[in-house]
Amino acid sequence: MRTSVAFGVWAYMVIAVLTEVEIYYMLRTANYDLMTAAVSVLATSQATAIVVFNMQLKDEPGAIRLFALIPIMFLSALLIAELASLG
Amino acid sequence: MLYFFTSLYFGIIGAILALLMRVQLSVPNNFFLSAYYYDQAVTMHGLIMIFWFLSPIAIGLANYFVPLQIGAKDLAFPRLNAMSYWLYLSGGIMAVLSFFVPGGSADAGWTNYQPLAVLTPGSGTTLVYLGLVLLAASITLGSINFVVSIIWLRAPGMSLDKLPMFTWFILFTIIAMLFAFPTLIAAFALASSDRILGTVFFTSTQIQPSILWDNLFWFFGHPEVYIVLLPGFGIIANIVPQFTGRPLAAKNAILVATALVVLPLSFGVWMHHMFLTGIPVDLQGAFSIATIAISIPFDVITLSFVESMIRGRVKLLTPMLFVLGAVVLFIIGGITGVFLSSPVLDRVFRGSYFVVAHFHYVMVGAAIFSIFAGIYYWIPRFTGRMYNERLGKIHFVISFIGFNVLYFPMNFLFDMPRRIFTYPNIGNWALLNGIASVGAFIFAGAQTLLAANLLYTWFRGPPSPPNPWGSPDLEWKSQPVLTPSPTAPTDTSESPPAGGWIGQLATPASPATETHAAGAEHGEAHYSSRPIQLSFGAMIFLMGAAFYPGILAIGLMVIGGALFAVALGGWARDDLRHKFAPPPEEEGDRWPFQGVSKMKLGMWVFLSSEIVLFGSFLAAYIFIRGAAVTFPAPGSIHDIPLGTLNTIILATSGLTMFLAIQAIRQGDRRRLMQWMSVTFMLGSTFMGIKISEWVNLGSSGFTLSAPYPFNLAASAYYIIVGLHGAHVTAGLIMMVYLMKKTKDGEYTKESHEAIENFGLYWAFIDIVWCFIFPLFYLL
Amino acid sequence: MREFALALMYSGMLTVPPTVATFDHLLDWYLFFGVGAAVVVIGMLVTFVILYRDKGDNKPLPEHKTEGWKIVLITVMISISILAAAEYQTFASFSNIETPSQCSMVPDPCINISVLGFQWGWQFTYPNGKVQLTTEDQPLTVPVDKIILLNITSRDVFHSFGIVSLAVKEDAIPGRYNTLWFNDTNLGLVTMAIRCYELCGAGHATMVGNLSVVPYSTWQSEFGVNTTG
Repeated sequence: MRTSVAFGVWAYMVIAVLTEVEIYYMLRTANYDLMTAAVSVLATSQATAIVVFNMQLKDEPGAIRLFALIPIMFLSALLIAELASLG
Repeated sequence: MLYFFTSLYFGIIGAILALLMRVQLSVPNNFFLSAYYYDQAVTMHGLIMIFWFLSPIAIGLANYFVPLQIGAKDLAFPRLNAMSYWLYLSGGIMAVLSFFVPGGSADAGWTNYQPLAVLTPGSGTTLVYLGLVLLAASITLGSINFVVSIIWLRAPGMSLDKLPMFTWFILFTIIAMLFAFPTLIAAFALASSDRILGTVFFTSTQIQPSILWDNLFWFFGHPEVYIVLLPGFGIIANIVPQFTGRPLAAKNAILVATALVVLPLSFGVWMHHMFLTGIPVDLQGAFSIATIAISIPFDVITLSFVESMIRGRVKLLTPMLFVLGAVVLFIIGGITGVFLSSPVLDRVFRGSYFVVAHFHYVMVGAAIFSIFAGIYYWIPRFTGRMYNERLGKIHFVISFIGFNVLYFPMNFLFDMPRRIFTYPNIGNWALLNGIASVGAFIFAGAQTLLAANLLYTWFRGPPSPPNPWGSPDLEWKSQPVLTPSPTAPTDTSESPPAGGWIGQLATPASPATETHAAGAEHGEAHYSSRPIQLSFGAMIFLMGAAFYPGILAIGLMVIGGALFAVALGGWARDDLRHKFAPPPEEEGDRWPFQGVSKMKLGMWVFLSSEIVLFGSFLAAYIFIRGAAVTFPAPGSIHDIPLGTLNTIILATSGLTMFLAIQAIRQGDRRRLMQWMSVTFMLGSTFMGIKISEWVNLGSSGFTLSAPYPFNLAASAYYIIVGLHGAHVTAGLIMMVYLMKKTKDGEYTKESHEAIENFGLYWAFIDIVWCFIFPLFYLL
Repeated sequence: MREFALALMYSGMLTVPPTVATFDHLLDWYLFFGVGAAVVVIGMLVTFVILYRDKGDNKPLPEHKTEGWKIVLITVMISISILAAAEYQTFASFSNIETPSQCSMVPDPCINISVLGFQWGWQFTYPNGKVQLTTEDQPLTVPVDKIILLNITSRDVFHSFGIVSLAVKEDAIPGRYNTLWFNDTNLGLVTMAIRCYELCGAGHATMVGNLSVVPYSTWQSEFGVNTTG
């Protein structure tokens, strides 16, 4: 990965977190659900950026990518079902 | 083999507890054990058998035979292996010690349903919980080691399609362990913090703590069933062809079914343990279908075993008898499992002896019988001697009869609740329980024959031919017959190795010294006593924590902490002095992981389990937020601008760490040092701000003893953010070590793996914070 | 099979309550296929072992080119269809675990009783506000031939409220309200019909209760809401 990309990722991290906070101030009373959704998407995109670029997952063989993806799959199942179990 | 014998020892403890229970239940209205002792017996029988016997005995076999089967000298990380063993033993010691503290041991069932378990007074339960955390840590380390070994250390030519079935199934087991056990750590860490620190995860009734526990526990607990079962199936699949004289039927179908259906689905069926907790009917339906679906691959496996006899030549020797027994018992246990997959039938069967019968058929019947098969099958390879065939057959016959007398009646006790310490004389309960108790003694008595046969083989057995079963697998190709076994007691006393006798004990069951002359030169790499110091340090510290508060507790924590620190420092010093030079790696068969280094693979595997660990904690937090009707409004507690600033600081440290890596990639050690220092400073600043935030929050009344819901928010915040903080701190300590090595000129353009891997770790910490910040500060 | 199931339930029932009928019907299915499958597969295993045992002759074995995947495929297909049929039957009996639709009608024709689990016993709150704890002479009293809706929760720890003779059970969980319904069609007192099915401490074994089924008029006068007007 080129150094410029690293700076790009960093810039994105900063912008994303500032946007999260901005969205929070804008929407926390107006539309809490929309705020939650937007912030979740931003947080996930931050994580993805780090995994793909800083951790160089894009250059790793597919088998390594599986080790990153499988637990996320399992955890999504846990998250969806545990919230559903609240009834 | 240490693993193997230690687990047998724990197995005996578990069996004694079981016999005590069967004595108590043999006749109605019995008072041999009071409810107080019975509940402890029932709980610890379950925990010890599952965690300290069934899994480790399979891992013990794997430790010895997986490296042999793949043609490796040893597992990938010998000291990690030692560490894993000593953590396992330490956890076991804590669990057994718990019987002797005032208030007794854990007594809320092996499932530890909350809030009963956190409300139980006494230190015993806490000791068991922290012991389980150590055990889970041991398993996680062991899993990393096995995954890396199996995919990275295969001998040239050992491509995946030639991998023996036992090794395949150990790989499956290990992968399930890797993703299941972090959730166990999370669940028991939360429960322990409730017991020690007074957090309110499971004591606050407003958030349905029982449902939180059920979700976390069974998300771990159901894969655990397959973790117990799969090694047994691996043994069966591995040895059946040697006794039928023909290849395994549909071998590839077994592998595909297990890898693509059992493994992923095992994490998607846990709610069938929760059918009666009032979850929505649709959810019950969905999990019922998933449960039925996961039985299909087991159909494939069972039918394949059965049909592997067709047109073969079946030799009914002891290992094969145990295989047949295991298959029959699994058929019965599997089919009763199908009954339990129905939420409607569950309305009668849940919490009854029908369930007890079901899981003993699977976990004792199928798993233990196949492990017995494995013991008889491999003992010639292990000792160079042959067991007594007649005694083995008698052992099988009595075990099989005893087992069925013990557990079959329980299928008819579907109206009797589990875990009741006594019962009135109604219906047929007395008769069926009486029969079961007789069976228990027959089954337990039969195991003395196993012990006798093992001892006989070890000391008196006739020499066995080099490959008595005509197996094509590698483990039979490497041994000179009748060399003293590496773990035979005489062996250790003859030649005290460097590092002393304790060090020798710390040696993982390693076939290295006997199979490859080359291995002996590097043998010293195993004789580090650091793993044992680290494990015992952790154990003493946690024991202290279990007794907290009190002067004894603090004393133990100080001693344990000091020992831990000394061991860690010593380990680092050993490395700095190159005390244990790793043997050079030979290029083997690594598809599909060519081009990935061993350490990096290990780091990724470790991080994947860390994802589950943090994920479980965060999932618990999200559940709490979903369940809590009232929760402190965002922004009312935490300082958002400060949190934002801290997030940016951590993100920046991610950038500087990357620049450090970039520097050493170009071979610039000085720039590496500079960027590392900047990263260290940013990381320290992050922690500094964190600590000042904690101090401010604590002094402003945001504590665990605050009124609801502030105590709940405080519990979640301090524990989860604290866990992240601990990871950052660990990262900072590692950075000091790396900077020291950099200063010594260790890293070059070609060789700087540690830096790269640390970069992965640091980036991971950054990712976790990406989720913690919005979850705790904004939402 | 119903006779068998009933024989194991220690009460002389005259008619079969709907929840039990559904359960029995489903259990018949599962037993038929479950026992059948066990007999067939274990039978296959025993047959093959006898048929292909080592007879001591050293005749060369036939080649196994395909490794016998066909027969595995066929038998697995059969077992999948059995499993699918069983699951279909389970879904067809979901009426047992769903609250009957008439209970949401206005006025509510179902009898609502609150159940509170505690260490160690059960407390029932009847429609007229009367509160009773389980003791030997204070059973859970319900009217015959009526849909009873139990609203179950717990005061302290995880319990599980079960009346196996009616094929119903539901967990009693602190902070959570679960429902369960049944319709008992037989008059009389069933001793120790109610049990706790989740380990809840030292008194778990003795957390039992009796069930009394009485005529509606008797029940109404003691526990029912006084209908004014």
